[in-house]
Amino acid sequence: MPDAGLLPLGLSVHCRRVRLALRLVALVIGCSGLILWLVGGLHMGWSKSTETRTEIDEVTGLEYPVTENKYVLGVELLGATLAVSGGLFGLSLAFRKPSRPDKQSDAGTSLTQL
Amino acid sequence: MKRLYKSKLAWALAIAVAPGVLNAGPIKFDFKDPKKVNNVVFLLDAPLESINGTAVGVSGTVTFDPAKPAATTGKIVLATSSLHVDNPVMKGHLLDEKWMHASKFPTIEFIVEKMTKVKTSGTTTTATIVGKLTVKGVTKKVTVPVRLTYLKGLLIKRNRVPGDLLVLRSDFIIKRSDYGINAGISEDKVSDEIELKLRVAGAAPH
Repeated sequence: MPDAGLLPLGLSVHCRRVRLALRLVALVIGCSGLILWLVGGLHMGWSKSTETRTEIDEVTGLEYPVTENKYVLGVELLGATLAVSGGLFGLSLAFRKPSRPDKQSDAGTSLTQL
Repeated sequence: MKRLYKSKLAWALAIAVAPGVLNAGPIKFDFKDPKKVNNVVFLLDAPLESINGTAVGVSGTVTFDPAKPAATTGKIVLATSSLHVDNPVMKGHLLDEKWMHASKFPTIEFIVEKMTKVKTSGTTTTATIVGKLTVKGVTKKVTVPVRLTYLKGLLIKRNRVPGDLLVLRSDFIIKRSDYGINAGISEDKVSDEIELKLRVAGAAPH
């Protein structure tokens, strides 16, 4: 894990950019998954590539299936997108803000006082 | 002259009506349905959501006598490749070797041998079919409830040709372990019992 506080200025800027990029990607992936799931009608089952509805034949009164191509995001893919999103956010925490040297010395003093 | 016309008209009417009158006897109904209304729904219980599939590749013939419904015999055939579930991965598994092995066993067959406990009320007959069900090459004797509705002369409304319709509805349960459908495997994920709903109509043009 890189400690940005001990890195030269160029590298700490790089860390901040990576962290921001990771969080943005995490946000985009998480939101995309959620939006697709909401658009699909909060489907609580597995993902589907077709949707089957039932119609009734007027003459015989028989119920019959009508299948049409329609992608519906299921909970397993929603879970996967949220997991990837969470993972990227977690990874972004590894690229911490460089802490100021004066704060570091303060912390050291208080520890020695104890 | 007028009398001659009248008698000719009477003969013409008699000839036109005759097939309907002479039809009193067994009628052969063809269950092949290009409109794909004939269908079988299958349900299997599973933890996240029940597996709800359909199949529309129905064919076969049933001989039905409105005067003697107990004498009904016939065969309903279902194309295994027409089995459908909305999840593409699940459909792949369903048709593969472990489950239905559609390439080796292209049809599911239901033979009606005899009917018992027959009760007729108007156009509807309820009964119990004693027959043979063949799934994945395994044939088992089955006894299933059935409801038959004889719709005389209604084929013209459906197919634009004169004739009769026979609607057959049956709900029953089979066990996949009985037919070697991935028997004994993943029963915690997919139930052993398969609920089947048969909804088919046969046509008998005059």
